[in-house]
Amino acid sequence: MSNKAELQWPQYEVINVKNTLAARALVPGNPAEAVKTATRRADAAVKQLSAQFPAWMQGESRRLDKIRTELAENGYSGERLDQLFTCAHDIKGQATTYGYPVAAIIGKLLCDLIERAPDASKIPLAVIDQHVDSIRAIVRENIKGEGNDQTRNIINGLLVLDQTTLKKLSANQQNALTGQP
Amino acid sequence: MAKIDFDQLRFVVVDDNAHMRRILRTMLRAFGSREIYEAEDGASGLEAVEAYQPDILISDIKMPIFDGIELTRMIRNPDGFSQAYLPIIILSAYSEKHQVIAARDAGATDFICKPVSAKTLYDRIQNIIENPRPFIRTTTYFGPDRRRQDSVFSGEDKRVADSTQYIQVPD
Repeated sequence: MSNKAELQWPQYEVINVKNTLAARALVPGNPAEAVKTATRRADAAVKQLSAQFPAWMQGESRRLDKIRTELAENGYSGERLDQLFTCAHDIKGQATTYGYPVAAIIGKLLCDLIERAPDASKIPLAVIDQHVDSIRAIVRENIKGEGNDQTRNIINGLLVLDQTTLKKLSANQQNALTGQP
Repeated sequence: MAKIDFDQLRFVVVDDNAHMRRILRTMLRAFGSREIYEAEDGASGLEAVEAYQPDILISDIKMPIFDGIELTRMIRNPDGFSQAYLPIIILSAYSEKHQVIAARDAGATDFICKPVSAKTLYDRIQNIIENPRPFIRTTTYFGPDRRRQDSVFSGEDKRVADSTQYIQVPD
C-alpha cells in the first residue's frame, strides 16, 4: 500500500511579483503608434549598420575556413569540432540578418550534420569541406537574398550528401557494435 | 493608453558574438534605451547582472564557460540570487523544440529564434512589461508560470487548491 502522503502533488507556490517595470516604464501615449515609430527607427538604424554586414560575413567565412584548415592539418578533436559547430551555429543565426539567408541555411545543415552524427569525429573531411566551400562561395560571390537556381541546387546537393553521410555513419556504428566488418 | 518609455529600462545583453551584441544594442538604442550593458559569456553575464541590476536580460544560449540555459538556472535561485525574478529573454539560433523547452524549464521568460527582427524584440519586451506572469516555485522549478495565460491547458491540474500557496512578493 502506498502512503497517502506520497500520492499528494508537490507543494506549489504561486508568487505574484509586483510589476514595478510597468509602473516605471509605461507612460501615457498611443501604444500602436509607439511600436511603429520604434521599430521603424530600429530598422533604419540596422540598415545603416548593414554597410558593415558584408565585411562581418566575410569574417565569419574566414573563421570557418580557418577551423576547417585546423581540422585538416591537425586532425579532429572535441575542441576543434566544437569550434566548427559554434561557427556554423553563428552563421545559421546571423547570416540572414547580414543579408545572406542561403549561407544561414548551409550553416544550419552543417550544425545538423554535426549534431546528428553518431560520432562527429567520423564525418569525412570532404563532407565538411563541401559545406565550408559552399558558404565561402556564397560570400565570395556576394549572393544575397533567397539565392537562385544554382544555390538551390547546392542546398539540395548538400541535403542528399548529409543524409547519405548520416546513414553511412549509423551503419558503420551499428556494424562496429555487432562486430560485423 | 500607455506606451513604453525605454529610457527607463536597463538591459544586459549576453552573446559571445560581438556583431550580434552590436545589432541588439543598435535596436535597443533606437527604441530609446540608453543603459545597455554587454557581456560575452555566461560567467561575465552573471557578473553584469549582479553589477548593473538590469530590468531585462537578453542572452544567447551557446556561449563559452557556461551557456545561456545555465546562466538562467543560476539567476533563478530565490534563496541565493538577488535578481531571481529578472525577466530573461533567450535569443538563440537554436530553434529545435527541445532547446526551447530546456530554456523554459530553466526559467526563461521568453524565447526568440535568430534572426531577430526589431518588431519581434519590441513585442517580447512589451509583453514582459505589460503581461508579466506569476512565478511558480516547486521542489524542481522556480521561474515564470510555464502555462501561458493565452494557452488552453488540457492536462490534469496539479495545482489543487489545498497544495497551492499564493504569495505576494513585497516591494
